[in-house]
Amino acid sequence: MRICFLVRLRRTDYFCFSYYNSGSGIRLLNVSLDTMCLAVPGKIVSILNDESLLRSGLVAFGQVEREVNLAFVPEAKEGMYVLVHAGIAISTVAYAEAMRTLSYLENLKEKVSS
Amino acid sequence: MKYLDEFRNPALATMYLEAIRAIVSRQWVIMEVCGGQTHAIMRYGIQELLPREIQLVHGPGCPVCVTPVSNIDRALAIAALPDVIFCSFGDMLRVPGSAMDLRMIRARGADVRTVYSPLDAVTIARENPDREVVFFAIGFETTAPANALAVSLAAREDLGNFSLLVSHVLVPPAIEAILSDTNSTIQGFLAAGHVCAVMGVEAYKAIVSAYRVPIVVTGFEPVDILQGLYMCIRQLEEGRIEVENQYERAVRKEGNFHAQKIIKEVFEVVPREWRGLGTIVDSGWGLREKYASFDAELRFDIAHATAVEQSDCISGLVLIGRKKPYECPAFGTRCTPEHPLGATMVSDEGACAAYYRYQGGLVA
Repeated sequence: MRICFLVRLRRTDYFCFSYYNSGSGIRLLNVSLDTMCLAVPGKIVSILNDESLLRSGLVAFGQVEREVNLAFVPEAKEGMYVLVHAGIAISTVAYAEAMRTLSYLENLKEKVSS
Repeated sequence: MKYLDEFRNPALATMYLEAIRAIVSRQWVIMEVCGGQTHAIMRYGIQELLPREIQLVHGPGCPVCVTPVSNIDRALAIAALPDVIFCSFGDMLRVPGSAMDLRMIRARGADVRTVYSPLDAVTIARENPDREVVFFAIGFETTAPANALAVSLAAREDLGNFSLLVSHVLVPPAIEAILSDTNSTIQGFLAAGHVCAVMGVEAYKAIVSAYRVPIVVTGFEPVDILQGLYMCIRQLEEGRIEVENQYERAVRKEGNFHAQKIIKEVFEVVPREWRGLGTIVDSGWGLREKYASFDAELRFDIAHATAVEQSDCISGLVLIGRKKPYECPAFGTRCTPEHPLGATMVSDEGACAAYYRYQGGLVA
């Protein structure tokens, strides 16, 4: 008999980890958001299905991996980061833009001083 | 984790706080639209760190909170039917309807299941062909691609036992409703980054020019929120009024074309009732005629009873930023996350729950 139970490992504010006990050990069943509006960035580990609406991949959120629908990010490849909400990727995460956000203040100061 | 930790860097956050202090010359009232942002603001104590001149007002962007009691009553009526498996996001289970919530219905024997994705509900429908599987499709634009995809897949597989109880809402009409209120004191907005990741930023340009308020599309981590605030305050101080995009790493100007395409295929714009705001024209999505067979409201014959709001709950005013949670006499006493009177105390994105959790239920 499969027993499902929910474990909140630690308060990360992003994941609920649910596991099931298959009798021969505890396996991870699901990782879910606990605030439904949030989308979480994860890295595509592998593409599992490449067929249009069913396009999906294994996505890593830190140490946890989950199957995610990738139908709306056809450009997303292995190794890229996607924003995942309710089991589907809604956008890719752009590295250059992320870096630009992080250096925004420094750039601003440079602009002022030059 | 990459793309999270960097945006929680306290040193960078401190730099933004200093930068904000350096440009503020007078009082400004700014609304963060999304409940996810409210949650982060409370969690990281951002309001307390900001200069006194900056007042943050929490907006209606909590999908769980704005779902009207009448729709929760519909969900309860459908979930109680025999042979129905009722699937929902976890936060909806504790939201009080007129007399009960979904947890109580489940305790009485109804098959109510928490799912992470509407696609999980499609799987349940596939595995239970002799049961009716209903998914409670609440949410803003962020969640619409997932719900539209679920309907599209169910249609493709001809899953006659799958349907959606739709309560989809849209951000731009809600911002307009708040701004058209003559009592509104809001001078700038942080728009919800994930909504814009799907829909793009075009809709906000019209609002900016019609109502003359700056809007900054903003992310959800503390550095994102502080940068969004900095950009918004700078516009206000310099007298500029534009749409700016702080959340560039995820939001493209045009949004996600593929997601928009499936949303347009499955949904059409409809009037929608909002908790706290009433019915707003063209403020939600409903299933198109072509997908009417997947509409749970049409599939099940539910009697329409009058919805009853808890009389001492002020969540309606909290949702539009008119009242702070601690101004409610029931806050932290008769109303707690364990025994919520209203939806803003249920969802993690609700302002009341965020205040309760991070301020320990104390009056600020």
